[in-house]
Parts: sequence; structure tokens; C-alpha cells
Amino acid sequence: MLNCKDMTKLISDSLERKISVRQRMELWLHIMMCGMCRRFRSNIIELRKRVRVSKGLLDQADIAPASLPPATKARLEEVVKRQLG
Amino acid sequence: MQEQLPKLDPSKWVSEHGETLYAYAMSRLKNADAAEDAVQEALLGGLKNLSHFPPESDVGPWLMGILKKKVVDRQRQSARVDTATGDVDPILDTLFDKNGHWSEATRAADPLRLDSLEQAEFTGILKRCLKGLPPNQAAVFVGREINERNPEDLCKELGVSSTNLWVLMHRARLRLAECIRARWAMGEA
Repeated sequence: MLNCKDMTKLISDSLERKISVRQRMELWLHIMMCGMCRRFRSNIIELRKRVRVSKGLLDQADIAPASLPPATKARLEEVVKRQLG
Repeated sequence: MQEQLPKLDPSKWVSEHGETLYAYAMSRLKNADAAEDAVQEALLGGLKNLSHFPPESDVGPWLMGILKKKVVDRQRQSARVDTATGDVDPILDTLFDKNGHWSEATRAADPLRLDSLEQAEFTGILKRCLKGLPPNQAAVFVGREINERNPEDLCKELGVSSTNLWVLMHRARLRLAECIRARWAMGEA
């Protein structure tokens, strides 16, 4: 019998690869009885859906163009200058 | 100093290419310090290899090529570190007790029903929670769930086995679910 920590790993894996029939049975038995794991499962399935819907928004605002903070820029300028002597 | 082609003026690298390089590094590494380090390594790498600069090419793509290698090195390094440390991600001890059951505190906390969260709220919280992920977990999660990369390619790029990919996905999911729950419970949306 898997404990809840291992069960969340199996639940996560089931979104990544085919799990065995035996594992699938254990998963279903477990989540029938365990509300926390059941909620974890529905939340990560929902998370996958939501993340894909949010993709556009994330791409613009966060995932792609992070702008170079002025302090970082100054430090990098300094590094290059020092190397050029 | 070495003799340079006129277009290869390193004193202008940061002002002309810094933004692009940094944006790329951030998109992959999800961490300002790591991105700065990677860009710095790329600039220094470029300076060291001025004599290998292909005369017909442009500086931007050339520096970007160097940066991509530095970024991959970093991702591999952090993925390796995580593998070496095995089962010690603190998120596991936060959420579960020593028998592997959900901890008392976790069970007592306000539950999150993700399906009750509006999309706009969700996106705002998700952005902040992604920033809090360890870089290797972020790289795996973003690669799989946002960029929808296939697992084989992602493993190759990050230099991790599929087993480790699944371990990192599991931890990223636990962390994100907990982070979203906590921020939502604080009424942050």
C-alpha cells in the first residue's frame, strides 16, 4: 500500500506516462477513500488545463521578455569594461 | 587587446544585445541571479573567443549561441544537484508527515478548489508561484506544461533521465498547488 506522499507521485506520473493496470487500481482505490489525494489529483489536472489557457498571458508578461534591470545592466557593462582593460 | 573587426565592438555588447540575451536567459532559467550569471558567462565567453568570431556573421546571434550553451550547462547542473540530493526537497516535509501522510497542518488548511478560481486570478497567482520554484523544477514544469515539449526532447535538453523528469514534475506540482492555495487563502488574487 502506498502512503499519500507516494500516491501523489503516482498521480503526477499518471499525467506523464502510462501507469500499469495494477497501479491504476491502487490509485483509484486510494482516491476513493482519501479526500486529500482526490483533491490533489483534480487540482493538478485542472492546473494543466489552466496553465495551457494562461499560456498566452504568461508568454507576454512573464515567460518571455523579462527586461534587463538597470542595476544588472550596469554590472554587466562593468564586467565587460574590466575585461577590455 | 586583440585586433577587432569594426562591428565587433565589445563595449557595445551590453547596450545592444543585453536585453535580448537577458530575456532569453530569464525565459529559460526563471531566476534573476541565474540569468545574470549566464549572461555574464556568455559575454566573457565571447570576449575570450573573439578570434573565433566568424567574420561574416552578426554579433547578436553569435552571442546568443554562446548564451544557449551556458544556459543548458546551468540547467543540467541544477538538475544534477537535485538528483544527487535525492528525497530532501523541503516541500515534501512541509506537506507530509514522517509516515508519508498528509501533515496535520496541511489537512487543517483551507482547501483549494482550483476549478473555483477565475482564470484572471489564476494567471496572476501562477506567475508569482512560478517564480518561487527551484530553477530545475521550473525548467521542467515550464517545458512540459507551458511549452508543451515532448518528454524525450526535454530530457535530452536538460540532461536528466525520464525518471528524474517525473520526480521534478511531481515536486513542481506539489509546490505550485501549495503556493496557489496559500496565496489564494490570503486573498491575494
